Amino acid sequence: MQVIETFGHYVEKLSDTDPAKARVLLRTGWQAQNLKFRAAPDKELLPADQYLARLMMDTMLRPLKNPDQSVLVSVFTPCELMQEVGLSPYNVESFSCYLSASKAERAFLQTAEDCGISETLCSYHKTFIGAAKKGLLPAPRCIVYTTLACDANLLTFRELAELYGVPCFAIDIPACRTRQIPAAPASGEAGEQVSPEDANVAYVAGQLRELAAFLEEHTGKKIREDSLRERLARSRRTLANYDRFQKERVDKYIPADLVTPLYNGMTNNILLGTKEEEAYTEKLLASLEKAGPARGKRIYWMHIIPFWSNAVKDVFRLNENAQIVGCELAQVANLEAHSDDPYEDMAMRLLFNSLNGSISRRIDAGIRHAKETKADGVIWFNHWGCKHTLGGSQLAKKRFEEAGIPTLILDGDGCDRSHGGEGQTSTRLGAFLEMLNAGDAEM
Amino acid sequence: MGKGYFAGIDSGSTSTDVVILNKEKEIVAGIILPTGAGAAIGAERALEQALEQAHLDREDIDAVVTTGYGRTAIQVGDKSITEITCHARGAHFLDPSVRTVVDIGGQDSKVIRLDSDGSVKNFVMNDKCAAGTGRFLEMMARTMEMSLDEIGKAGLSYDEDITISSMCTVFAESEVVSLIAQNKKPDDIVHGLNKAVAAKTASLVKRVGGEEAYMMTGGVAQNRGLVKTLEERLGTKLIISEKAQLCGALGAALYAADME
Amino acid sequence: MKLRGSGRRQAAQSRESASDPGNAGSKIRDLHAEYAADRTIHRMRETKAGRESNLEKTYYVCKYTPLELLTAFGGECENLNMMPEGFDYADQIAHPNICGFGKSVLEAVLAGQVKELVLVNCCDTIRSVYDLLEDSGQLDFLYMLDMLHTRSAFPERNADASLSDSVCSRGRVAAQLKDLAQKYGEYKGRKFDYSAFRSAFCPKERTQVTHLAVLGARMGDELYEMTQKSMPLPVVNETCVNNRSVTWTYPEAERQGTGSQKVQTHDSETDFDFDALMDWYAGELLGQLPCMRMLDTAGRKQLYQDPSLKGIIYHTVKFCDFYSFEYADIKSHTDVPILKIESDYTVQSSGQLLTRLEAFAESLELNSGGYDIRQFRRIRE
Repeated sequence: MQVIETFGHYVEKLSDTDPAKARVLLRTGWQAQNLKFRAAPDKELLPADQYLARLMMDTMLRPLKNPDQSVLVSVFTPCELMQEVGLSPYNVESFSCYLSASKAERAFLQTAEDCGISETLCSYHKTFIGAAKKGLLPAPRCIVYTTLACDANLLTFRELAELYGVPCFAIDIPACRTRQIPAAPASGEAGEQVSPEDANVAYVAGQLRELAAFLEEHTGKKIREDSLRERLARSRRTLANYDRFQKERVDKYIPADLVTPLYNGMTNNILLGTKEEEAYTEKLLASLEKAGPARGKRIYWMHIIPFWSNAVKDVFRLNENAQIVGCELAQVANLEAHSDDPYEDMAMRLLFNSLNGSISRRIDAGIRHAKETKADGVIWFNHWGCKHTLGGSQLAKKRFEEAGIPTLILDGDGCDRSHGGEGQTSTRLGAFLEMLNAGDAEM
Repeated sequence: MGKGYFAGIDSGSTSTDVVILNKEKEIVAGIILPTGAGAAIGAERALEQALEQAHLDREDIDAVVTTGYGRTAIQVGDKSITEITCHARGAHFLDPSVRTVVDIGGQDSKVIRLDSDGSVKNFVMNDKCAAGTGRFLEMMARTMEMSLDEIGKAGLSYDEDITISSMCTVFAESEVVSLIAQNKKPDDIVHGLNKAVAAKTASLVKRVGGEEAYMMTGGVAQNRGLVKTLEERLGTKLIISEKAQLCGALGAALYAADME
Repeated sequence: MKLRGSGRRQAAQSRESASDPGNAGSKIRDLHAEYAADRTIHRMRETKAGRESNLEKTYYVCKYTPLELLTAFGGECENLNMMPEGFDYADQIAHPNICGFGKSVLEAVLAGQVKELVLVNCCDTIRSVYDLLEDSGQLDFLYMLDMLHTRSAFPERNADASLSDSVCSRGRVAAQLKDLAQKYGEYKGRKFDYSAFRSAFCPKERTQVTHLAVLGARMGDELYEMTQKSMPLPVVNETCVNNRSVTWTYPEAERQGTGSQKVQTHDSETDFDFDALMDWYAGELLGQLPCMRMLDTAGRKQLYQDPSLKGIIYHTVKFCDFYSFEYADIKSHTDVPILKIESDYTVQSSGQLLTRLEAFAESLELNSGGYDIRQFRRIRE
């Protein structure tokens, strides 16, 4: 995400006086970046990941180019229905990351705080709200969000819906109270006692059917059940491909930067169901053949990645000695939960999302995925403002270490560069890797 | 090629420390200088002084390892290692029975768990906040118009057991001002401050799972009042070597010696 | 701005020490000292008798907690709302940067002051608190209800009609109430007592008297007392758990034909349909004046559109994000004087707020306009 140094500065300044112009500038800058991705991609990354960079940039450009064909979503909103009616989804976190990468986030954070929004709110949400209030971001056709996974969703989208005056649909997700998911999928057998999990699936599925009606109403397009089924099948294939890739990369060296695992966390959610995302996972699998043998320390990353941090880049960016081999956000869906009914299928993906419910579910999933990809260690990133992540960090470290996986808790901010603390980040990361490497020397 | 000497440079936010070891791993020089405005210059000066102390030339040094916050800014150095790993190594060298190192540094605090061979088993650092660090004590010393030395000696004995309960350095400062105006004794106030720092430190110790024997390193180890309060809080004795402040640089020098 | 002396200030001045007369700082320190000496609530809790009786209580934190249900099983419910001096225990197992109230709950449990706790998944911090307390094993009874975010009987277009009763939000909550009832009943070794359930309903009366209100994020008892003492008008606590209002309307609901069960008299102790009762009860709980984590918060306007409301103390808690949004909204929609304060839920941080509360009180007295504010002050003094 290398953009001209002063570009962000101009975007910030223009937003004060002429937001429409600022938007044009932003769009132009990102389009230029996109051209660069095509003409001179980062050759050190896999071709699949170069493709992913272009795909993400495209996804972020669409709401700027065709806002009327765009829908603003929360990161875990299932987007197959939106894709069926031709609306292009974009989420708050990704967009704020791009603003931050363009070095334009400070002014928007300040705007949000000046309006009275709490300083302790997640900076992804704050940046977006600030940019929206400044008029930099155009109004989408509509907004669709879920209560998963954090409080910020409950606040941001309501605020934005009011600000933009666009139709808004909220999906209420009950908490998942079981650590293991129930074996049999829900199919509404009449007359029998309905289990709580089945009833939860039906509750969410019902809301998703309402969502379908809402989207049809606001776009004038009809959603065909067979087309939707195909799309859900594609989503399942995509997730299965990615899962296979994570398992088969254990003895391979895959060059990684900081943004690719983060992109995975975004596209494996909002672009799930698209042909492009499926193609990406197929390219990933194809790249395994040519990949060299694994080298260096393998780290599985829990939560978002502060791509802007030089301290983190120094350690992980295209480094044969240490790579990020996976990010939990790309693997939140439980592959065992499945229904032939597309609405129930999407409902299950939401309900059994590893970030729903107790932190134990999230930790269990993290342990499983870290082991599958033979990670040497895990980093649990305490992103400022993410209370459930922060609150559970010590418990997570304890459980990961009981499972035999050394864990580092890192405090920081995924989006706000003024958060600072680079010195301590460097020390903690450096010491953690020294620990992992010393472990080898003893053997 | 050098003459079998190894140097470690610990570039911290407040002081830059240098240790030079000979082939037998004996300390032939130990220097502590204020870092000043620049890590690089501070490191150069400290190394120069250390060489003088040991009657050596720069060419006599076989290898240099740098550590501390400023380690990446320093030009000189063959390798850089974090102060976590260096403090652990240094502490183990000073006393192999140590299993937990407590270091209250200038701008951060850390507690490190060691294995029996001096390697790092686990560590925890304070959150990005001055409370519980050397910076906190510096600010309070200024507020009380005492030098760091004086505040280090005060609070050993006290009459009234005052508790400073503010989490935040800024609020703690106004609490101290308020106590001064109430004519509370300096010793009593300092004891309260020591308790506040000790509480934060004890929290880190609990988080990392501290085990005997405990060693305290870094400059704040000279603060006898704080050491006593911390010992009371942890319910154990803290081993304090006279080389405590050089612990990081010592560890770095030992790693330099490994490079042979 | 020079203010006219008030009776209270003269009294404070007379208490100033002779060694530094006229020092404004000492006036504030005296008020601090007075406040500190007044914390009898804390003292009470620290007596052995106080502690023992506390351990038999079932604590709750949220207004969506089914208190009446717990009472029906013999539970003695109490709102957990203490402000600790520090967060030693909480810092060890959680993280400093989460809501202070959550930390105070951790602190109270880990200090051994609480043995039974029923939580609701209000927010991310409380979810963390539940995770940590569950792991700690320190409680004899711990339960967290998943309160849904909307009250609408929903969805309407459910494909399978036979599921519709159990799958609307009310149905989901009712299912949990039944689960809680079963588990709590087992723990207490008691059966559900219908008349105890019925008598437990005591909805809060809204005051008609001229008053001030504390709005926003929940306020600790100690800070609330301090606020009351410093204000010239009665202060109503409308924060969070304090505006709980669940009313017994079950027989009416029955007569109107909602629920599919048998008709019964309200005195019947044995002949009632527990499922139908819980279904109705879930609707009542969900239907309360919404808190900020519900999807539809329009109903909250009642809190500040009351004509007898003469001033608002808007309270937020550090690391709670919800209420800053509402504050921004209210500020631009009301003429009522409003003071914003933030605490981190420690007793110490509240002390810092005394000056601001005092200043607000003085400005209210100056601008009292059409009513005589002094009569209220005299009654309290």
